[in-house]
Amino acid sequence: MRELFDAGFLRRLEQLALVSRRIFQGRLQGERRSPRRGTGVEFADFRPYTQGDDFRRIDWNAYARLDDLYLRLFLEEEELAVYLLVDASASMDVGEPVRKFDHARRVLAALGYVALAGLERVQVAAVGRGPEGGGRVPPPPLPLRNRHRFATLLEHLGALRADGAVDLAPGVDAFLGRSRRRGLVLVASDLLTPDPLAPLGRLRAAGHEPFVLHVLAPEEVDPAPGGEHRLVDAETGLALDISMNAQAVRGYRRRLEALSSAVSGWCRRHGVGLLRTVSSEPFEETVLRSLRLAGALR
Amino acid sequence: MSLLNLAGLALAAVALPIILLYLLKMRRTDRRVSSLLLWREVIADLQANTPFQRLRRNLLMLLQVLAVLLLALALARPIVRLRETGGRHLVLVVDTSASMSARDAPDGRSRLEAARADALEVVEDMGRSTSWWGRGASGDACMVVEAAAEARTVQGFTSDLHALRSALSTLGERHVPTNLEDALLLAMAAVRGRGEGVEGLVHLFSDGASPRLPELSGTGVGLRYHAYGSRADNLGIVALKSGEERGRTQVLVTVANAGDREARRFLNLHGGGVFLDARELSVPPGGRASAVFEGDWEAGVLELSLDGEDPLACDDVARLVLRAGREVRVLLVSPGNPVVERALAATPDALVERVDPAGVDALDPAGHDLVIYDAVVPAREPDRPALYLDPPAAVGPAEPRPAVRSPAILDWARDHPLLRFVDLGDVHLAAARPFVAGPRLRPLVTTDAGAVLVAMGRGDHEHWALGLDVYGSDWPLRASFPIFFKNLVALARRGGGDLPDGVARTGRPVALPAEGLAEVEVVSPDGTRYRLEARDGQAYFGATDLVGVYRVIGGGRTWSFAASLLDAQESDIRTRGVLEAGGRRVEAVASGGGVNREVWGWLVGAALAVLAVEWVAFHRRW
Repeated sequence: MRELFDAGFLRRLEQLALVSRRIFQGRLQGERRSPRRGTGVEFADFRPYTQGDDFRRIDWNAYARLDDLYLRLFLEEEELAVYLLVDASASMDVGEPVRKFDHARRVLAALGYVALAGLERVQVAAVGRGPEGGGRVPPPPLPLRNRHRFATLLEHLGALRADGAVDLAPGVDAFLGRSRRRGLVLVASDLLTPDPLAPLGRLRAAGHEPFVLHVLAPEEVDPAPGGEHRLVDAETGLALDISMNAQAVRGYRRRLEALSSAVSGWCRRHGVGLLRTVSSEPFEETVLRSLRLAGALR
Repeated sequence: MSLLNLAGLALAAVALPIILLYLLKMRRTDRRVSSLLLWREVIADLQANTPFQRLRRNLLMLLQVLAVLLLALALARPIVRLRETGGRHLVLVVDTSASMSARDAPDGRSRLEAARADALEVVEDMGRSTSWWGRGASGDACMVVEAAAEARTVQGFTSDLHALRSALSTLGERHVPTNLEDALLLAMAAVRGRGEGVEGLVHLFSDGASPRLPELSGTGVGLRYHAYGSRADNLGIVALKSGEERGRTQVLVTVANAGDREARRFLNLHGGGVFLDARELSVPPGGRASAVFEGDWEAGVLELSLDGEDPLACDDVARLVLRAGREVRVLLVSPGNPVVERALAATPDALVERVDPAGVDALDPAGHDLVIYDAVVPAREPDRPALYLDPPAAVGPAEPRPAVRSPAILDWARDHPLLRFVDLGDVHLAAARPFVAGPRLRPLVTTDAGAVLVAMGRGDHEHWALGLDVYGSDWPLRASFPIFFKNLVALARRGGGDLPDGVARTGRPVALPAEGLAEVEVVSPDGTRYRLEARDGQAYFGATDLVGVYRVIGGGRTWSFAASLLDAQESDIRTRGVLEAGGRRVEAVASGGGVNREVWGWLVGAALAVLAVEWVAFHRRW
């Protein structure tokens, strides 16, 4: 916990929060259509009047000047449910110099901090084996609000362990079973699972808005050629002998590219945010990029 | 192909662990990956697309093993025989010296026979390489040089194979010392004589028993050394001397052992075909042993022979000729000279007759072998050896100068038989009358005032003049004085020149006394007859190529001399695998024709190429 979110991390996070808050809010709240729009006090925008709108929201001053009916829109005051869903299978426990799992948790923590600062409702969830399944993934903790609870959020994230062979699909199903409120689901996973798009589709179908953080280790993106190797699966422990020649590396890259383009194509089609990140890159960069990407998308 | 370093093949054993490693499968490094999901597909893809994948792994092993085998073979230093290319000047230098007649070549042949066969093969090779284009069209020219005591061109440069073959067939054993240097110099000169920039190749067929070779580098002449011989266990008579002691003849024989084990052999002495004596000799390895025979033997040929057999036979026998002892009649023309008379009396075989100098001109020296004139000069010089003591007047070319006081003796001719063992270092002269130097005088004893003892050639004998009164010196008190007169008598007995000790050595010319003869005939041990012209009472015979007894026939008289090898270097028949040619080492190549080339460089290159292919095969797909 301490080594994962050390003082330097927190300091950088503070700076990041200042830069990112506006974007985040714009992305997450300001343009959200809500049945309860207008109940807030902060002015957001004008909108032409359409039949059925509340008369009380008409800006009469504008009507007097422009001779057109406009509604004054105010920012929604309602809190947004933000789920930090991290893939806690053993496959995430890979990566040099930074494990994918650590990178994913740092990025999620940063996004969670921003969400907390925006007074959103943030909840940490993990795809993995819980204690009842012989694993070390704790049951999902209670949702948090307010930036002062950030320490608790870090505790929740730090308590997670990447462990065991878990598929994304059953983990997502379990998450859906627990989370009643619809909201933004930040899924951090390496998506190295037989059918990674199905669980994402299920999240969407359940009314959630997924945002996919595709986390890969540098050696997965660019495996070093040369040598005879025995590849050991981190989850299953199964081994595979291979001559890591240029041909094999080429074949692997082709496969990985196919996976990535399948995921990105799906996300594009369904308007789902996607960020592909390598665990070796600085998490601030990932966070800023992801926030900008998210903000630019809508 | 043959290998110079068999031990190098041991490296091939490295191939076993390589194969073993492949059998045990190669050791792989574990690499933890998130999931095998993608890799499984890659493997499936690879296996589907490369059915030779398995073969490829075996190929890597085969290539590695091949590289190791190539390196092992390179380490074994293989040599291959390549045919000569044309356009060269070949010189076949065949050593025919005594050691080459050792019979230790394969198939019981002598070294020379084997060398001749190999030389013939070079010639035949030349013929084969030229036959493609017609006779001699390749430009190969070959010459044959015989290297014995002297170098001899047997056949000059020619492309005529027939001439070369017959030249080689004339090469026979010669029991003489080796002189490879002259032969190689001759070969180089012959190549150079063919023109500037001509490339020559000398094939030297020898056992290397030669002290040194000339510098060859930079001459454009290559040297290929074919070595012969396999054994060294040879015993040979290397020295033979005779002398007289108390009227008995003594023979001193030295035997050398070239082998690396102690040898025990009997040394037999025969005289006139009759066994006379024997000694058992034990010769240490690489050392010598001597034996002395003493006896009262009749004149004739004494033959010393070693019992038993060894590779070289010609050094197992040595002979010397005992001359009949002959009294020397000395005519002393003197008023009375007790010192000289006593010295002559101490000389065995000297019969001294003293006459008064009064009737010197009427004296007839016939019947005497030596005349000593004491302070008197005859009107006519005698036609036999004569010594003039303190001549008052000129004797022939020797003209005495006025007396000088206390001349110091500076030097004397120690090599002259007259001054053999004579030491004049402690002799002091009160007065002397040195001779005026002249072209026909040979100074024998020189003082700071001039020569006091001179020799004058007089036909087939010498006259000597001593320009001092022996009483005016302390010489008669010295040991050298009687020795001088003993030498004088011995010289007179020989008639001024004969075979020293009756022992002649092969390969060296012999001066044969032929007084009053125009020519003599020499019959060598193999029956060859030589006619020699005699000059000044002597005939020189140089063809002492064989060990044995040579008969000399002249003037109705037959006498003989014996030539023996007596050469420690030739008796040491060890084969030198490496020759030193002007600081450069020339290693022996396997015998036979053609060019022997070491090919390890090519093998190492091939091994590197194989490794490169292996590397590519490991990293790339084809």
